[in-house]
Amino acid sequence: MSGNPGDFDNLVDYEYRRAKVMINLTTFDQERQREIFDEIQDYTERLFPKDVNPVRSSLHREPSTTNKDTSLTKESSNGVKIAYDGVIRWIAETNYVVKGKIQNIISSILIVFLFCVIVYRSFRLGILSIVPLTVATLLTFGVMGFLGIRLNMATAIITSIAVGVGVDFAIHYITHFREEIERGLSYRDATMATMTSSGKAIIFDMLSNVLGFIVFISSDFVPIRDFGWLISLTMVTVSIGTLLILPVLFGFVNVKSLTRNLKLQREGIMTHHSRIRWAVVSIGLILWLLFTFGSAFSQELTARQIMERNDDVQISKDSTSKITMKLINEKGQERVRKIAYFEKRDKDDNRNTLVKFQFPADVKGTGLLTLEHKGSEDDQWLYLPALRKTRRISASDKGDSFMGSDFTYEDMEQEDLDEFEYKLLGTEDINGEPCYRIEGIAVSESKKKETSYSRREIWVRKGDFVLLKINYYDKKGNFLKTLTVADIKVINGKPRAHKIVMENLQRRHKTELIYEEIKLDQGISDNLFTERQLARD
Amino acid sequence: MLLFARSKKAWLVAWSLLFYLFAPGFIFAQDFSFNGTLRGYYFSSTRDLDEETDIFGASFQPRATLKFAPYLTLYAEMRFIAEKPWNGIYSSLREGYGDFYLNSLDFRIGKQIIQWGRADGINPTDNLMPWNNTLLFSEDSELRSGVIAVKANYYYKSMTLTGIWIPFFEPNRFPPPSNYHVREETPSETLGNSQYALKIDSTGGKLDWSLSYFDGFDPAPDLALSTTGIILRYPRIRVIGGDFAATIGKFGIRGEAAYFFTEDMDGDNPEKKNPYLFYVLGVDRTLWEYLYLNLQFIERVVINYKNPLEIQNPYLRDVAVKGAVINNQLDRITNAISLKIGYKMFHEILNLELSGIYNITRRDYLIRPKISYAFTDHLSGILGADIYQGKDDSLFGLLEDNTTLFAEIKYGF
Repeated sequence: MSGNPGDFDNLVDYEYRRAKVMINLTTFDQERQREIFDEIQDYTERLFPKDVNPVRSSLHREPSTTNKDTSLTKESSNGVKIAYDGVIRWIAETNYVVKGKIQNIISSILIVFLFCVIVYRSFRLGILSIVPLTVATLLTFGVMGFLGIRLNMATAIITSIAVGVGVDFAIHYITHFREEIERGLSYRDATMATMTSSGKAIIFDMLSNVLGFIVFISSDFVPIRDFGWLISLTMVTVSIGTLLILPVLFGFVNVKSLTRNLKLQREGIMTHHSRIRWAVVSIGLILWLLFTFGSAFSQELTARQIMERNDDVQISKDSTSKITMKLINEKGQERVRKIAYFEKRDKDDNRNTLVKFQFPADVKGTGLLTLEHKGSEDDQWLYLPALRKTRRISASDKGDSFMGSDFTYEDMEQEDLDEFEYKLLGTEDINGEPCYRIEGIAVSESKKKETSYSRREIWVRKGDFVLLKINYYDKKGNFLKTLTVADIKVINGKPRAHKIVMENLQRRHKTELIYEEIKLDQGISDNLFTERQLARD
Repeated sequence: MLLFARSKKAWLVAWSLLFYLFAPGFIFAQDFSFNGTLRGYYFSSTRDLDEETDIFGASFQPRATLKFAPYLTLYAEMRFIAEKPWNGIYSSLREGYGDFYLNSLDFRIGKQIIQWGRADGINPTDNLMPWNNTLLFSEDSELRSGVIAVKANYYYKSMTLTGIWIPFFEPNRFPPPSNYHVREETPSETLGNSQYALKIDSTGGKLDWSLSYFDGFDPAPDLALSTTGIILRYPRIRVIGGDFAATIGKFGIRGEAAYFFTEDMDGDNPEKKNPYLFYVLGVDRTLWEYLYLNLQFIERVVINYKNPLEIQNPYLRDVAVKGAVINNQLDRITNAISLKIGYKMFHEILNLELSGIYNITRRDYLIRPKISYAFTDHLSGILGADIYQGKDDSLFGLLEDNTTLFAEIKYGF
């Protein structure tokens, strides 16, 4: 700042009556953002106790599902107005959509149920009509959970469509089936007739919808792509629910009792036994729905699922960065190395890396090219500027030190989850942030032979699944070293630690990696990972 | 010529050209980097086979890189050396070139270091550039200076086709044979005396390999008898060579071979080198992360061999034997082994190294122990020795007087 009052034009108005405070968030996790928002609110409310009546902003859509008052504009008792905007507004809206979604689904299913009860004038047909859409909703959520797709503004509307389409298919089926029964057909014949007419129509309907939506999977925008194939999946599960489950459920009911024909109804009046049977089926169905819904929304992730999420967070197609490596001994004396780091995954998911040394001067220009081959030895070349030569070297042992640091090559690589067994040890706070505490032990024979560790304890932050800490234990089970990460910033939607510290407690030595200029998914060329580039300044 | 500058006037021209080349660069360059090495040293002996002892000296090697665009870079490295006994400041342009990168084609034009061969330290195909074995540096790589050349690399997948034109010739600097007046006859600087080299190289997959051809002058001289002493002549040679490198498990395997067509293909002229085959096979391995081992087998086979010791004329015999010793042609087959052991300690702050060559045929050897310690990221110190031992009719025996202890302190920036 130069001291010129004009410097503050973006922050305060001319009369110094309005001020703008900008806060950069370093987390992508909605839950964490929500917490930060709450903390900011608490802070501002302490500073400026609010008036009883909040003033609404024209931008505001009230998030009604939280305990806190998340109004975006407030007025304190002394007349200070505080307005929240930017990401905070987006959080509030996302929060509204996502949190309200569960209630929204349950209420829409209830509305559909009531509608069907009224239309069919039958409680049982009302129950049956919501079965396909419930199954489809559960399956879609299950697949999303399995693949780690979060409920966001794009994916949240899928279930609404599932409810709409699901009841559509069910109404078609039930109406036609009841007509066939009213015509005097048996359960079996009526099912056959419904399947060959409405059943066909439902399949065509499903296919045309799938073909319509499937084009979205070619989108580069991930939420739209997820939406494309999830909605297609929902169409399929709704039709399965209608054409497979509904006919089976009709088998439990005395179908004549469902008709509008009084004569048939009388014929089909339930016996005492059939009433009991139907009651048992209905109660069972309701309990099953409650149990599955309940468990679907309350189940804790397994250790493996947490590590998979962490894996998803870490993976990028390519990345470049500048890294300052500080080697610090127990006396606090530092040695500094600076490198430029390039990484790209090839079509077989092999990780190719190029490291160019920039400091100290005596190694400036030295390059290390590594082409990974999953299942066999990597290829490695070293360019030595003093000799002006590229030299093929044998791939480093995974337990070898990376450039003389406290990191080994094993520590630097992306771990193959199939080679480890993960156990959830509980939850624990790291620097006040709630984390899953997981134990990882090598189980594959090759990894057991290769690894330098008997086990690791891994702390993964809840919400965004960012790794915050690892404790390493040597082959004898002694505590060897600890890794901690800090300064997490979001790059291209992916959280990346800008400082990683590895401290070897046995050697009393530590290494700090400070990352600068991290760039992800820039589409860097395969040509970068060649001898030609390795030897270039 | 700028880069052959040996007189003060020539150096003035060289400096002026360098200035005019780089000065505009500071204005237009996208990226400029300047670094270098300042070094103080002590050698207990020169490498000139003379009586001088206890040499103190200092050297300064600034390096500048100017990047004008992603496809255009200029690089220059100078070298200034001052030694006691004081003999003025020796200065040279070690390298000075421009790099031009096209789509699949790279050009490097100017004075440049071109080292060929995948073997370690002993490279049969490395004949394009001279050695200056009289310089007092602890690292062998510092004994090389560039040659003026135009080099083009064409890249296709993992293959590189290299074409080189070297218009002028620069000989090795080697301690002169004692007891003789030595006169040097270098090829005249004419277009007809240009040197050429071609190489096809594949780096990638499981095997790196190359095949090469060189048509030029041998930087190692033939010794010829004259009425007043010895004449150093640099004959035209053609060399067909090849090399490979692979890894088998944790072992690195390397090999390099070259066949030299000389001016005396029949082996009748004792003052000229015979054609010969020269190859190296080596293996290296890193153990326990910090211990590096490298073992190589070296063999030279002289074609149409005639024993120079059987020459009747005693003067001619003496010169022919000396020539054969320095060119490893005294025996029909010369075998040697080289060994290098390196050990890194304290996060690569302290490096211990022991290297050596033992000539099995003549039982002479060179042992070179070395310790280097990095005091800081910029400052390091080196202690070491070159120990030559052998009989008078062996290469390392001839160099016994060059046995030296040395100490260096280096500041890099």
